Amino acid sequence: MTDLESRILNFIQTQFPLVSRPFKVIAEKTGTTEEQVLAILRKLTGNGVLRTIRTVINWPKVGFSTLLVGVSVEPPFLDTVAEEINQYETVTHNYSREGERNLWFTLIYESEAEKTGLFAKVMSLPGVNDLREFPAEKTYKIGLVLDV
Amino acid sequence: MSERINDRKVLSVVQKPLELVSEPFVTFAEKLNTDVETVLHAIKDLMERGIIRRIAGIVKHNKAGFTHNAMVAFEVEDACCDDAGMKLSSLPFVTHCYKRKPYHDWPYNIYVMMHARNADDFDQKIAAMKELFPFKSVSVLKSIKEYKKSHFLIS
Repeated sequence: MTDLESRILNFIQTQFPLVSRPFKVIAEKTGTTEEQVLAILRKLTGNGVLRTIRTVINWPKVGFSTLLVGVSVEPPFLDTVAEEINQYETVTHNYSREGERNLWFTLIYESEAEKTGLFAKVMSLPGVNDLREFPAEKTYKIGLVLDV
Repeated sequence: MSERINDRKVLSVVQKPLELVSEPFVTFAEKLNTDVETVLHAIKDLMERGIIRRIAGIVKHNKAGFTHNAMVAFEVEDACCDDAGMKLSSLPFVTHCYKRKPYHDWPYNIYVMMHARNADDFDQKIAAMKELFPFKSVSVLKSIKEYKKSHFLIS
């Protein structure tokens, strides 16, 4: 990544301008042209560094709950269990991790029935030994900013 | 309730990824049958009310050079949780920090997501976190495979 690419990426992670031509403002702040900013962002999207530019919604404020769930899966079944969980649109993140509780996913749901339905499905899958929910009691940081 | 329905209608449009064009909010305005100024005002209003946290570029950490990532779970005395949470949150390599429900056989209550560029960087950052506050135990749950990272869309 070039110095300019890093500057643009760091800028848009923290202060995306809410104006009709935001990329022109970003260009002025990072010392280049609007065309160049757009070209760089297209390139960074193309090679996968930049996922998207979008609004980040505070789900509980619009009636949704979010939850971290940790599952213990027998290792040979890990991929198939993960793929089954991925089918749910309400599952936003799903990672395998070191340790006995080796599959961790996050869920956004509107009703308890959605959650219990998903849990029942997961518990019925071969290789799943345990599922536990880890609700957040306090949020200290939701940063999503990485110094690149 | 009418405001809530209206909020959801706006969110259902402005939650979409921004197009990489000179005037990216035009698409949103067309979908909401309004003009760009009104869309920008609606987004700012939703931000002021805390419904939209931010509008920002979302970087894929592994592609940006952060290949060593972990969820780290600490067991902290209840009275010390806020101190631990604030200290951990001040670290630039910690992107998320929460207090979560502990269990008798899983006593961790402070959770962070952290990101490092290589094995040495990872070890140093873990060590730095452990210096910050008193804790009883810790579990470093290193990420092995990303099965999904997506963006939830309301309808």
